[in-house]
Amino acid sequence: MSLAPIHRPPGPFRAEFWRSPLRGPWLSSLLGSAMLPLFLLCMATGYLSHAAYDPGIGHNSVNSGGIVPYFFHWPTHPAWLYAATQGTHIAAGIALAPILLGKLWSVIPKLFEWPGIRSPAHAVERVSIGLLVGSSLFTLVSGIFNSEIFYPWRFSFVPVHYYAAILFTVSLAFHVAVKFNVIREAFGQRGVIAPLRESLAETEPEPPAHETTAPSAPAAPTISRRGFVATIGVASVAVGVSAASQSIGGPLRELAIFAPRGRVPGRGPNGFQVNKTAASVGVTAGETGADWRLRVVGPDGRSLMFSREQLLALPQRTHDLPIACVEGWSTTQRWTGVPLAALAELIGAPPGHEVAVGSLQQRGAFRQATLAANQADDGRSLLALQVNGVDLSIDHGFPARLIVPALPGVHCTKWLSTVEFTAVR
Amino acid sequence: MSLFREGRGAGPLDRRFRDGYGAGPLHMLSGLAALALSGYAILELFHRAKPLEIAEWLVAAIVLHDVVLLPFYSLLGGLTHRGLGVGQAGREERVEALNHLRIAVFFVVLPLFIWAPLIFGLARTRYLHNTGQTTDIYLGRWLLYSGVVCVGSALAYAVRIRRTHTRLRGDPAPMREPPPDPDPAPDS
Repeated sequence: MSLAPIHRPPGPFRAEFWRSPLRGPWLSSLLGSAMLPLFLLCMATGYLSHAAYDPGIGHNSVNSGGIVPYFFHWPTHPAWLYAATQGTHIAAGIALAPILLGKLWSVIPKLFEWPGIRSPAHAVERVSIGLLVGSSLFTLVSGIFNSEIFYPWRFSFVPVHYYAAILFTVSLAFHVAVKFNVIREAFGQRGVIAPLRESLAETEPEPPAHETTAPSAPAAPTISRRGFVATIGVASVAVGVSAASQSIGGPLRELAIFAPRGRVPGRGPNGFQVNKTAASVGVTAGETGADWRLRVVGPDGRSLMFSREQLLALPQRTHDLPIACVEGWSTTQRWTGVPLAALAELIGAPPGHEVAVGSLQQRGAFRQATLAANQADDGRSLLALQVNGVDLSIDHGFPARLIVPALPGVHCTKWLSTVEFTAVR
Repeated sequence: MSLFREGRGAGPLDRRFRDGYGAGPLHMLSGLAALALSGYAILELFHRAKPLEIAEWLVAAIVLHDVVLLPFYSLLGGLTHRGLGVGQAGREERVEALNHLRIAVFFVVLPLFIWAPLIFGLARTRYLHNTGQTTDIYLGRWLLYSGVVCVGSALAYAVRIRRTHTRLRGDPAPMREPPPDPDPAPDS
């Protein structure tokens, strides 16, 4: 059954148009197989990235109204958990980009297949492939742009990225099922890595077969498969390591010359990375001055007001904890302040309470956050007043900020104004 | 050609189904499942982003693909290919030149695929608000990096040519050490 007119259009619709001798099922299978583990990593850490916000409590959900199944509260051990999962998410996604480009190049003749639709089954496959290519590019590009604080869109990034990723996952699963035997045959006939041992002189085109991308009129090879795959591989590792270095830190961070958080922004104890300056969210020096008070509310509705001096007079604790951002960077600093558990005791809240915190900031989705009980009860969760032995700078949340092990950075609320121990549920 | 190959016990009914649909029943069920789940995800997307905006992205992607990516691929594959006369005499040497050229171009362009918003300062204001830093350094860094990549590739090529010529001259008497390979382009 054919729905196509009799005449095949010229140009890319003709098989002779595509002459690269490297194209073929083996190359596409290899690139696809290289992408699969990276994609699975991205998918798993992407899911965890949503789970880390503990969307089931308070107003934490940034993806309301859809299906987002979570079965657990985000743990506080190890303290670098979110730095690791989110750093992996961004690094794996960026490492995917060069391989995806190579993969799309390797299968581009398929875009111009003729006849366009051979059968209902073929139509289903092509629709699904269209969704796969569109959603993979969109998910990747929107994620990369978001990590660079570039938002060329009006929609809310988190849910749109999430549902595009679901579309990507679904169409990829079908694609792998459809192509499973193509991959098996390609690897079975040519070996998984054997073609990588061939020099340029030994490089032969894959045999042209019906419905594959192997060229029917191949040009002479100008690069070996090894050269092509190595170029893509080096590119993938280089950009992936660049992204990861923003989490690994140390000298590696400054080697990542293009990464958005590849720089150590300043000198001194407060000279580490800032996410949202005070000016950008409307927090002024006046509000954070001597008149600032922290309101602590107990589960019975009773409240206490603290000045910064009064907080500093309470027993202080110091912990080394990372600030880890959804954009895929993190930095570990030495924080000093009052444990949340000590505040709970003062206000008469026994362990097991959720804690809602509010900020002075007027703008931004993250001017409040709710901690699960396990986070509030952890002895390392601090109402931080100082960092690295000095007062917090205003951009790091002076007079007081929250710092909780393994909690996403945006929930470690800055410029705190209220801490409320909610009733046990 | 898929996971859904004809089963061993396929009867005439199965074959009739295959003739009509183009693949087995398992393919159809999986395909329908994929389309249904995709439809669900697309509906959720439409609740959160206006269809018009998704269409804008689609158009932008097509334009980007046709105006940027395809010419880029052609540049890496075909044009340089013809320009350097690959296929005629001295092919091996020309192929080397082609690869030193196009792999360098690939690595020069690669950062743009990922970090163009930073390199071209597309989100200058928001980046400044968020981080307290400017994006001014990135363009300079990219130019510097591009220079290093091109020089590295050129040096590697020069070394290769020298080696080839030394070998071809067939001057085995004073077996000199070949010059140390600076290997600045790990890819080539």
